[in-house]
Amino acid sequence: MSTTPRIAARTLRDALALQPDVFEAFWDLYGTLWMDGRVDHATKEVARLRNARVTDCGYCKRVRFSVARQQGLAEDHAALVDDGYATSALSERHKAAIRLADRFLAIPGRPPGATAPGCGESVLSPEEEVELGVALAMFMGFAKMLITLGLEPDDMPVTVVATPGSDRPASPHRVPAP
Amino acid sequence: MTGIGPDPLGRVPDVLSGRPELLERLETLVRRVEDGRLDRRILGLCRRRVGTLLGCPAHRGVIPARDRMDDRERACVDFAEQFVLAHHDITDDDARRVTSHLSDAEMVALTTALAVYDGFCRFEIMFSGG
Repeated sequence: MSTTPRIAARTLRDALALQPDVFEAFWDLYGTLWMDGRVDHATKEVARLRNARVTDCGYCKRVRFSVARQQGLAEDHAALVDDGYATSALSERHKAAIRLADRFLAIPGRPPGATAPGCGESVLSPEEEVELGVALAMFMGFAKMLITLGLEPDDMPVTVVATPGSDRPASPHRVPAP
Repeated sequence: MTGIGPDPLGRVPDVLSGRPELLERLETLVRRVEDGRLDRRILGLCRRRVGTLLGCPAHRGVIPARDRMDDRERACVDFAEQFVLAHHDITDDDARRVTSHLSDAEMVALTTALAVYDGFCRFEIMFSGG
């Protein structure tokens, strides 16, 4: 691990700005995933935090997205996304998101007890699992990008930031907050 | 063996057929990554290596032996392996082996491509029975 940038950038946003076309496409997909998704923000945030923990991304672990916070994912809930989650007070829906994340992140292996998509044992619908799969692909891939470019912060407090895409006009796909 | 291959997303479009708003944006992202700053031969080598390491049926494939690659290709493929298997083990010296051959924009292009290949190979394996 290194917190010394390996390119002339301080943040992932700075790095992606070196490829403006890619940055625009990344942000369009990421914002759509967050704001126009079928999965509620709190469940997606639980999956993001699980990825942050497993990939050990110092930045991702300390960031909280604003809409998930508004929808009730408080700091005490975020703290439960740890090794003892299975017997924690997290909802079954959030536990299912963690099991899905663990399975995704363990590929090409398979963690014991992880739920297979579409097996009918999850409280998440197949459509929700697919959306969380897209989310996990982005969470993991871009967390690794940040880490391998040496862009993790030396130290950073827990920080609430605007959910990606939350500054855009609502689209017809957007699911209203519960 | 050269080139990047015709099907960058494998069976992902089938899995996402019910979510056109996501699929369309993902296709745009992949197209821009693969049309970006890094040459397509290196991207093709990295995509096949990532697919092989993860066991992704759409992307795994044989790549030339290391002694048949030039220094730049070898550095990128080695970095790709570490990105997938042990991203925290990449030392500053390991990174310098790549950055000595790539500009900053090319390094961003490489890591963006690896993020997409690693993430969506896993997606394909998980959701299309790979």
